[in-house]
Amino acid sequence: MIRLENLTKHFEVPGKEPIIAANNVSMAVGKGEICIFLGPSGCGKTTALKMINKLIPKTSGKIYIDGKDTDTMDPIALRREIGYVIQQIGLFPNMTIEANICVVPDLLKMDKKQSRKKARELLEMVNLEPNIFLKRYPRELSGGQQQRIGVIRALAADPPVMLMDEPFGAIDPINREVIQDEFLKMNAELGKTVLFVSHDIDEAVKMGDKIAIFREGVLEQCDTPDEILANPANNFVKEFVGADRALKRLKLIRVNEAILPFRMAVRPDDPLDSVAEKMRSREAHIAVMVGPRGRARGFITKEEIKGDQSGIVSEYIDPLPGTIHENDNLHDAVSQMYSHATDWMPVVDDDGAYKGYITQHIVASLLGEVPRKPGEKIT
Amino acid sequence: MEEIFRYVGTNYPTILKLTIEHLYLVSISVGVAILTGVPIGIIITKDQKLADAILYIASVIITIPSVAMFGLMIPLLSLVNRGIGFWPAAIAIFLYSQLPIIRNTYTAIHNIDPALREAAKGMGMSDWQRLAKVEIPLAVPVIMAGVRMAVVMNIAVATIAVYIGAGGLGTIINEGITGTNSTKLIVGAVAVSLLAIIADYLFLFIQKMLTPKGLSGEIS
Repeated sequence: MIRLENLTKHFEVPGKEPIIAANNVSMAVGKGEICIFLGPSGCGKTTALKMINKLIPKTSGKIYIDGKDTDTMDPIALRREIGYVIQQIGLFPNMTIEANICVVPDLLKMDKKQSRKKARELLEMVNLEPNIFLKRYPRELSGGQQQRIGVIRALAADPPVMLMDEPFGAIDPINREVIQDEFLKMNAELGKTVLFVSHDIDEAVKMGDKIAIFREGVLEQCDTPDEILANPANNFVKEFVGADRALKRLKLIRVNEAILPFRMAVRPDDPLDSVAEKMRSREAHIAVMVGPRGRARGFITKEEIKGDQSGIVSEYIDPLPGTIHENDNLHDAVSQMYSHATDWMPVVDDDGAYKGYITQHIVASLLGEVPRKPGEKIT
Repeated sequence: MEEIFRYVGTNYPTILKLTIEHLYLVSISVGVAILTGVPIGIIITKDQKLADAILYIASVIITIPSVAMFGLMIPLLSLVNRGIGFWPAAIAIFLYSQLPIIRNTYTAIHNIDPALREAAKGMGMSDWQRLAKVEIPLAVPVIMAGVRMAVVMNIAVATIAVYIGAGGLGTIINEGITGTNSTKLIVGAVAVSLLAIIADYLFLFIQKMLTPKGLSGEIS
C-alpha cells in the first residue's frame, strides 16, 4: 500500500555539513497495517512521515501509495487523500466540532448532508454523543476529547491512508490507554493503512502490526513487534527496546496460546488411582476438578496423592489460586501468578468454563529467543 | 455653562455639519488604510526582514507630529495642485493608521499557533484557504483592535487638519482659540472627545461581534 524506496532527506545547514534526516530508507507497509515509526527524538521518524504527505520535501528517493508514484501527484490533492493527525491536535478554534470534522469533505466539495451524517457516525464511534458535541467549540472539550476529534477529523473523508505524528503523546496515561484501545477497535473495522510516529516502545508494541526503528535517519529494523523484541537486529535496537524486552513480549501473547495441550480435568467422584495414573502419563503435577457445568472448582497435586490412593478426588481438593481469562495477555497472567504466589493458573472462557491451565515454566519457555508465528501453539 | 448650551442650541446645524465632515475625513482615510494595511500585515508574515523594515517605517511615520505631517503634505501635494483641503489631511491620517493596522494584523497572523497551520496544511488546504478559513477569522479580533486604535487616534489628529483647510470639528476649536472664545473652545473640545469615546465603544462592539464564537467568552 505504501512503499518507500531509498528515501533520503538532507537538511542544508549554512556553513556546515548537511544534516541527514533520512538515509536511503526503504520499506513497505501493507494495506490495513499499522506501522509504527519508532526511535529517539531526532532520529528522523517524523521527517520520514512528513515526506509522505509532502509537508517536508524529500531530497531523493521514491514514495509510492497504492502503486502510484507520489511525485506525479499535486501536494494539495495528495494531502486530501491522506488523513493527518498531529500531537498538538490542531483543531480550528473558530469552527464547531462539526465544521472541524467536515474540513476535508468540504475541501473536496463532498455532499454536505452526507458529510454531516458521517460526522455523527464518527462521533459515536469514539463514544462522544453527537447531539452534545457537534455544535460545541474545541476549547469546551478536554484534551482527550479533542484528540478523539483530531482522529475522526482525519477519517472524515474516508482516506485509505492515515499519518499520525505522536497522536497520543500529549494525553495523560489513563486516557491514552483508552484512546489507544478505541483506535485499535475502530481500525479493526475501518482497515486503514496507518503510519504512526511514536517514541514509546510500549505504545509501539501495543499498536503496531509492524515497527520501524530509526536512528539518525537510518532505518535500523522493520518487522513485527514480536520479531523485534525477540531478535533485535543490532545493539541499538536491543538497547532501545529495553532490557525488559522479554517481558514486553508477554503482552503480545494471549493466554490461550500458552495453554498446556492437556486439560487435566477430573470429576469430583473420580477415584484417586485413575487420576494419579493420568498425571503420571502426562507428567503433570496438577489436575483441576471440574463441576457439572464445566466450571473449575479446585485442584489436586501429585504430591497429595502420592501415598494412599483409595479415595476420590473431592476428598483431597484445594481451593483454586484464581482464574485467568483465555483472551488476556500473558503479561496479565504472570502478574496474577505473582500476586497470588503461585506458579500456575487455570484458564477460563467467557462463560467461566475451564479451558486448561498455564504454568510459569511454559511462559518462560515461550520467551526463548525464537519468535513464534501468530497462533502457533506450544507443545 | 448657560452660554455653552445657548451656543449649541443656536449653532447645532453647523456643529452637526462639522462633525459629519470630521467623520467623513477619518472614516475614508482609515477605511482605505484597512484595505492596504491588512494585506501588507499578512504579506510581511512571510518574510521576517520585510516585516522588520515595514514595521520600522510605520513606526517612524507615527512619531511625526501631526502639525509637521500636515505641513509636509502641503508642498508635496501642491505638485498636483491639492496642497490644502481634504486630500493632504486624508493622506496624513491614512499614513498614521498604517502602524496600528499593519502591526496588529502582522502580530495576529504571526502568533497563530503553528500547530493550526500545520494541521491546515496537512489536511490539504491551499494557502488562500488557510488564510480565509483559519488565519483571518482568528486574527479578526486583534486586527479590529488595531482599527479601533487608528480611528480613535485619528479623530484627535483630524482636529489639527483645520489648519490645512480640511474643516471638521477643529474649525470650532480654532475659532475659539483665535477669537479667545472659551465657549467655542469648550464646545469643540467636548464634541471631539465625545466623538472619540463613542467611536471607541462602537468599535469595541464591532470587535466583539466579529470575534468567532469559539474564541469569545460567551459560549453555552
